Formats: sequence, structure tokens, C-alpha cells
Amino acid sequence: MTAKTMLLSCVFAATATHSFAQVADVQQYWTSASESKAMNVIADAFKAKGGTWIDSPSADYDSTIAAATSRIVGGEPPSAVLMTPNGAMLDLAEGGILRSLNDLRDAEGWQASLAPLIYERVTVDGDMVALPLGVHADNWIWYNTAIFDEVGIEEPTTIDELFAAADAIQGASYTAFAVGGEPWQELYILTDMILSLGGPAYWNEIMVERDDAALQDPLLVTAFEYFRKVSDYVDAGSTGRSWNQTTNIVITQEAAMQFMGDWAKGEFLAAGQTPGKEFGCFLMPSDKPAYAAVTDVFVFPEIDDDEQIAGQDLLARTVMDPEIEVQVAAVKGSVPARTDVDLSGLDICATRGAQALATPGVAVASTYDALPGDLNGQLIDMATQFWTDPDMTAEEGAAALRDVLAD
Amino acid sequence: MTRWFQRQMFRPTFTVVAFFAVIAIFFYGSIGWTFLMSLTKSSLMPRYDFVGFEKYADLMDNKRWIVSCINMVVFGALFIVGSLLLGSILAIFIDRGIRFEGVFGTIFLYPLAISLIVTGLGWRWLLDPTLGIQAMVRDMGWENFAFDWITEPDRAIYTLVIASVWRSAGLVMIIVLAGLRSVDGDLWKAIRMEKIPQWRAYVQVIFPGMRPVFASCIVLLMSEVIRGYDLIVAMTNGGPGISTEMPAKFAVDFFFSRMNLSLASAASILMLLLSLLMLAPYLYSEFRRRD
Repeated sequence: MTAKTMLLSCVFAATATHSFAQVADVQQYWTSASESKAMNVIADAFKAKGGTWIDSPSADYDSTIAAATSRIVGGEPPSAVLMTPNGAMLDLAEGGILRSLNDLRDAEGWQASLAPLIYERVTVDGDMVALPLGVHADNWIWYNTAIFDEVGIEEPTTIDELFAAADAIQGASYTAFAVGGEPWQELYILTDMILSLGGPAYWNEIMVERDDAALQDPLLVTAFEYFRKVSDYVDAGSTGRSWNQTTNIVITQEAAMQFMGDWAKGEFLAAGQTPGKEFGCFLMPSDKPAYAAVTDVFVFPEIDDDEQIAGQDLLARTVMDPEIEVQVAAVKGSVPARTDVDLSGLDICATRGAQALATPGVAVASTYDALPGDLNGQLIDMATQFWTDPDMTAEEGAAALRDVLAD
Repeated sequence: MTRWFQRQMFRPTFTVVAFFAVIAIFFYGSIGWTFLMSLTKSSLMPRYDFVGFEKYADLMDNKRWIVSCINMVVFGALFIVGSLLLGSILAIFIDRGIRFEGVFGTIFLYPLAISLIVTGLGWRWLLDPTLGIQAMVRDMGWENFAFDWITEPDRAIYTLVIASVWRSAGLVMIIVLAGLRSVDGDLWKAIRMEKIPQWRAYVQVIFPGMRPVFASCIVLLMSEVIRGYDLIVAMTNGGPGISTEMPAKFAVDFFFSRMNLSLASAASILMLLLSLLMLAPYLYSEFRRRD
């Protein structure tokens, strides 16, 4: 072999490996114990398929988005960004920054396998711009079964039964509702009441369409009255308490119930408890049940580099693999976004969630996902003002809500 | 060429020009860009579709911003007056020639060396009714003792004042002490001969002569007020509700978690104007004196 052919073959070999390398630089914030396990499920599967995984973790959602946008503006976008399909994603999509995944979607038939609500959330102007990793819901109530047994109550099925249960629990000198002091926790209680009274259809009218007539409905005043009523059942240490410390007082049997998304399950599991045994879960009781979904997604910024485009393709297929979806859900406590997967491996709470998600007309987008721009933030400010100001009437609360949501 | 360049490097004009260029780009350039952003509708990413002063109008409609501004005034006034009073009293005590002066000086100055986050967290625990002072006094037998200001929307702002005065009084003490030490001994002799009571001597003779010292203290403390962020995040995180929000926290929150670049920029520009306004009397008196 002459030097020239050797050189040529070297160059050839280099270009050959170059075109086959699949690199994914993933900007993400799943760093807690259960979250990082879930991310590792994806990373391991990706590496097993021959990809090179570059992990770019940040401490939380905010810093991830800040880092990702700086990288995008600076011309070195990550291959994938973990986020939720909210106003920020809409902003990125409308800026033409996100890669459309329509070709992959059509090749793999993803539209048919996703729950309709989730598909709608990840599609902007006909382009699929994000892939769901899993679905959480924020309208769960978590309870301590020992207290329920001692007081002799069942899982309530209406909002009146819920408050009757709270009275009974208070009568047995337990704290009925564990509520933390972070403003977003307070908003969840309010939205739980609105969802319970109005159901999914009304919810979509006020949160998605933001219809003025629907926002005038006196139902909202009632929701604020119930929201205020919850504060009668709260313990003294509530102010400023974080959500997981709050979950902890349910775990240690000081309080009976907590309004919280299903990430709370991770805390119970970490304390060595089993769903259905030491603790239980039910969706906010209502005659028009709803499932207020918060979705975790990957978005894929537009990128020039061939290796990274190949990496995006591989990562997309990995994430949407039905087996990976189930494994991620199992470790993270979420529900798979695909409706065609085997649910037998999930616990009782996740099964309930998956059933709700698959039932037509039950799943709605939570405020966090549904509202554009910083409207969700404004709602949080409004809810916490109402919660901490006992002089504010339910009518004033409903008017403040209308002010935020009406255009 | 290179030698020419090297020679230029050491010319004062070149150094000064380079220095001013850096300031112009990074300081005034950033201010200019922030102002530009405040005129747009940008949310997550900068977008250059201008809407005039719409975002400033939005800001004036935003209850959280209004509460933040009122809080800054209330907090600022109490904090500055409190720190000056406590700091001056401590300085007087030390100036009276107490024993172990150095030890006390160090003790009072020490809080300043503690980071604001640690200060905030410590005070948060102390003031927490279920963990801190209230719980301790109740454990000692006074069952009805109540000190739960940090959980009350109307009073939480005063707990921030307590923590910041605790932290900054030492700084004021050192500066005022330095001022007291430079007071002419003859002045004290005159005061003693006239038999003027000590407190009157301080209030009417010594302190009025130390005006520049207090002016520097006020400017230092004022910058603390406008920058106020870390202590609030660690102590109350703006709560209960929005009762202890401050403008700096408003801007950071809207930049980085609310994804509202334009509103946050408008807030920052208003903060800049506000601080100029607050410093105006001081700057005015400074410049007038030089004329």
C-alpha cells in the first residue's frame, strides 16, 4: 500500500465514522434521585443503540431554559432540551428555533399512539416540535391511610364529602390538609376547586379559549369560597414550607391529605411507603372528573451539525420507544404519554392516572402548560394574594382571576 | 509596528481610552440594550418588535410591582434609620473607652462578614414560630408568648428590617467610630468646660460636624436597599403571599423564571431611575460643595 492510498483510506475511514456518529448534547434538569434514574434509563438506551450522550445538567427548570436560550442565541444549540410544552416552548417554536419532527412522526406513526391532548400540546401550527417523556397531573390528593382508617372514612367522591372528611379528621385532632407556603402550591388548590366544580369542558373554556362569558360564571366565586375554606384546615407551620416538607407531614401521620401533583409520590416511595398501603391517592373528586396534565418533553433545536442531527433522530426514536416510556414512568412516578403501552408494571396511582389520561375528554392541560407567556405566573401571584389576605372576598378573587385571564 | 503598539500601551491616554471603552460597552451598552428591550414585546428570547412604553404601563398595573416599590421605601427608610441609630450608639459606647474595645468591635462587625444567604436562613429559623424564639420562650413557660411576624403579611417586612439592621449596624459603627476618633480633642475640652451634657454634645455638636461621614453611610446603606435580593430570597422568598417582594427580586424573577424579558427590562430601567432619584440629593450636595 502506498502512502497515498493509506492517506486516502484514512480520510475515507474518518469521513465514514463521521457520518455514522450520533451525538446528543442534552440540556436537562432531572437531577433528584428518581429523576436522574429516569434520565439514565433514556441515556443508557441511547448509548446501547450506539449514540454518544453528552450530559449538560442544570439545577432546575429556570436555569436549564436560561442556559439553552443562551446557547441557542450564541450559535451552539444543544441537541435536545428538557422542558414542558408551555409558553416558553411556544416562543421558541414561533421563533423558528425548534426542529419540526413531522418526518419522524409520519414514519413512526406517533400521532396515533399519543393521547390526543398530549399530541395537541407538542404540536405548534401543524409541526410536531416536542416529544413527550411522560405525563404528570397536578390535581391529585395524597392521603395517609392510617388516619383515614382511624377516623373511619373512605376516599371522598364529591367536594362535599372531601370537606366532611376534613371535618372528621380535624375532630380526631389531626391536620386535615397539609398545605405548604410556596405560592404555586396555593394556586393548585384553587385550580383543583375550579376543575372539580366546572369539569374539563369549562376548564378549557376559561384556560385555553379564555372565553369572557365563561369567566363571568358565578361558579368561580364558589371555587374561591372553597379555596378560602381550605385555609380553615391548615396547620400553623404552613407559611413558607416547601412542598416536599409538606408531603413529609402526611408521611409522618401529622396531617391527612395534601393537594399535590404526582411528583409527591416520589417522597412517599423514598420514605419506604407503598401506594395503596401506607398512603393512597385520588384525583380531585368531582362528578366531572378531570386530569390536569403537566408534560415533560424534549425539544430539538435546529442544528447544522450532521452528527448531532443523527443524534437527534436516534434520541427521538429512543424516547418514543414504548418500553423506554414505561420504564421512565415507573422510576419517575409519571404516566406514559403513549396510550398503546403495557401498563401492568405500574403501581395503583400511576394506573389510575394512565386510565384517566386514556379516557376521552378527561385530560386537560394544567395552567402551567395551557397558558401562554407569563399568565401562569400572574395566576400564581393572584392566588397567593388571595390566600394570604383574609379580607379579600370570593367575589374579589373571581374578579382578579378574570383580570388575569381575559385579554 | 509592534514597538509602536507597545509604546502606545503605556501611554496614559491609551489606558484611559481603553478603560472608558470597556465601561461604555459593558456598562452603558448593557443599560442601553436593557432600555431597548423594555420597549419591545420580548418574552423568552429578544425580539425587536417595538411597542413603545406599553410595558411600563403594564408594570404600573402590576400589583406585585407596586407592592415591591412600597416595600422598598418602607424597608429602606426603617433599615437606614435603624442602622444609623444602632451603629452610632454602638460607636459612642466604644468611643467612651470601654474595656476590650477590640473584642466588642469585632463582635459587632462580624455579622457583616456573614453572607446574606446565611444571615437570611439563620433569621428565618430564629423567627419561625414553630422552631425559633417563640417556641423557645413558650418552652420556658410563657405559653401565650407570640412573635410570629414572619408569618404575617402585614409584619413580615419588619423582620427583614431586623435582620438587615443586625447585619449592617456594625459597618455603620466602624465608620462612625472612625469619624469620632478624628474629632479634635480641643472640642471635647471645650464641651467639658461648658458642662454640656454628653448626649447633647453628640447630638448638637459632634454629629452635625460629621455630616460627610453619615452621608457615606447613607449611600452605602442605600445601595444595599436597592440591591436587596439575597436576604429576601433566603428569609421569606417574597412571602407570605407577595408581602415582602422587592424590585430587584421582581426583575430577577421576571427575567429568569417568568420568561418576560421586556417587563423585567422595564422594571430594571425604573429601578435605575429610582436609585438615581434617591441619590440625587446626595450628589447635588456633593457637587454644590465643590463649586
